Amino acid sequence: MPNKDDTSRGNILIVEDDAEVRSMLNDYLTFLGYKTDVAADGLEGLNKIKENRYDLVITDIAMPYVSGIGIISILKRDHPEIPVIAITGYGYHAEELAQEKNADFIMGKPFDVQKLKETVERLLKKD
Amino acid sequence: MKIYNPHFIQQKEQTGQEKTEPQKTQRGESFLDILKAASTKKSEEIKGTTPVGLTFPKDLGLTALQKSAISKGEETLGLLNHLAGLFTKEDSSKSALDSIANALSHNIDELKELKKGLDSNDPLRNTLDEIEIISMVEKIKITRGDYT
Repeated sequence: MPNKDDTSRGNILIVEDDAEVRSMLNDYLTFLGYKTDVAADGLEGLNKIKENRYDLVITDIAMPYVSGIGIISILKRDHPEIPVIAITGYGYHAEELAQEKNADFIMGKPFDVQKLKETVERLLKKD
Repeated sequence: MKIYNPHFIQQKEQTGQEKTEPQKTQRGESFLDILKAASTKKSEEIKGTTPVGLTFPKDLGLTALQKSAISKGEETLGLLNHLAGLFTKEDSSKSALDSIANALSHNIDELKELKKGLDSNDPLRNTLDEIEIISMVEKIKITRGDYT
């Protein structure tokens, strides 16, 4: 069980247009003791990144207005210290694009929550 | 990301004759017809004025590669527009969608090649990335049957 008093584990932004996946990620990461924030599309995600400080960003790739690829490009240019996990249900080509933009980790949908937990812990430890 | 019409239902099955000519759609469109239509439409739009009455400047100081990349990007957007238009027509068929998927696949490959030649800081890259990702998603949705 995560330590409920530990609210300093990290502040994570979840950018995902699928409400079900967004809610699942939010609930799971909150359960693990992370502070979370959510955005329903790429543009909202970029605005939140501009206004707040996050320790990690988890972004879907195919989203309206600005794709996850756009988010990764901007994050790696303006905030290279923030690790990014890209998630996608569109296979190799999308994963390749995310890799080109230097996403720190790429997960295909449906993803393994245990793997997600381990990856989040590893990327936040780097800091 | 969804650009399709959720009320769209495929209504027609392919006939035996169409199956022997997979390159053509029920409306006689081939992969090349679709590409040509997308680039003709783009040229017509550029020749005229925009809806707000602005004209395109003749020379923006772009390199030949940048011009080719912009042209390919516009052509690809034309294909996506063509795809959106298919959902408003009753006679759109699986073969029409497949032709669009082939054309998108071809353009994605060309966009990737053109991007390789652009400067790493060229802002055009981000625009082409966005076009590429939308095209890739739509191509996958067509081929895995999301629209049929």
